[in-house]
Amino acid sequence: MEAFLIDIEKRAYRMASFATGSHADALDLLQDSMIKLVSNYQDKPCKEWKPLFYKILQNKIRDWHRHQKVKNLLFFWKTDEVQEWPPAENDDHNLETPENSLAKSQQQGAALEHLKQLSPKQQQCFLLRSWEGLSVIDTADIMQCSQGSVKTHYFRAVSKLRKLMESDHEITF
Amino acid sequence: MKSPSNEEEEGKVKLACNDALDHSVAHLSKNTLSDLARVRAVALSQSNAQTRSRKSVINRCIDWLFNPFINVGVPIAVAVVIAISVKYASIDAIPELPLAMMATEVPNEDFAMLEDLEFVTWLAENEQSALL
Repeated sequence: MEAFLIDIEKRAYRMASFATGSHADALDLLQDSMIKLVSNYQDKPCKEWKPLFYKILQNKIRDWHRHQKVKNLLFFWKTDEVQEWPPAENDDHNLETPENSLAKSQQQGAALEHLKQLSPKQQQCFLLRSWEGLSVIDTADIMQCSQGSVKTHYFRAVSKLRKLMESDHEITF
Repeated sequence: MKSPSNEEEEGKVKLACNDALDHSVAHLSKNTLSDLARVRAVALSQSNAQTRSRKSVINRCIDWLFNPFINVGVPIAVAVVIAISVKYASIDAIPELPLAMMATEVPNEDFAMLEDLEFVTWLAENEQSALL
């Protein structure tokens, strides 16, 4: 179980941080999901841990969004502190030339910004389908929606990303 | 059905985004990495604590069953409770007879007087009920 958590924690953290836009909230969601998986599903076969973990995480994200909605309604006069997100990255491993690395890092940063502009469902659907490589069936089970909805969210996510990238860099795919 | 150009465009978008995501994950800051390690340790320790508490409850139950005090004391206590409840029940059921009636030898004269007394009492009761 520990090896599985080490393997998945970074990607899950990224997913949670995209959903919440906050480092602290992402860590909270990640911790809660890990605790639930370890407490309740440790006895399940290893191959079931990944979809189970993402299902738990998606449920936590959904609950977080609902909580935020209520919080914003009740405390509409309060504005949350804007946290630096994504957090500063470690550039120690960059071995490319400065010009290439600058252009590449700018492109990568822009791609992450475009991902942030997607709706929560499109964002999570894209991350699960494209980045994690999960099937439509697994993604539908994790997101607790129909396979048709998964395909729709994914198609819209890709279309929007393409438009944003094209307009941002004035390039055509 | 998707056209080949659409699929190609989709592929390029996916590749660019996945590349950016992989890079961001591979270059997380040291603070973030230590936070992740802490979160993982907390989750695993919670699981261990839960397992220990579950085991300790089970162990405690087993120990309780095999406790000599429980093995001997509980049956004795149950027996005492049953005995007391039976005794109280037997007391309430049958009233004790007076000692005089327990005597084995009753003189004949007294016997006759008792019979007459019984007859007179019965007669008086019948007359009363007839009057009513």
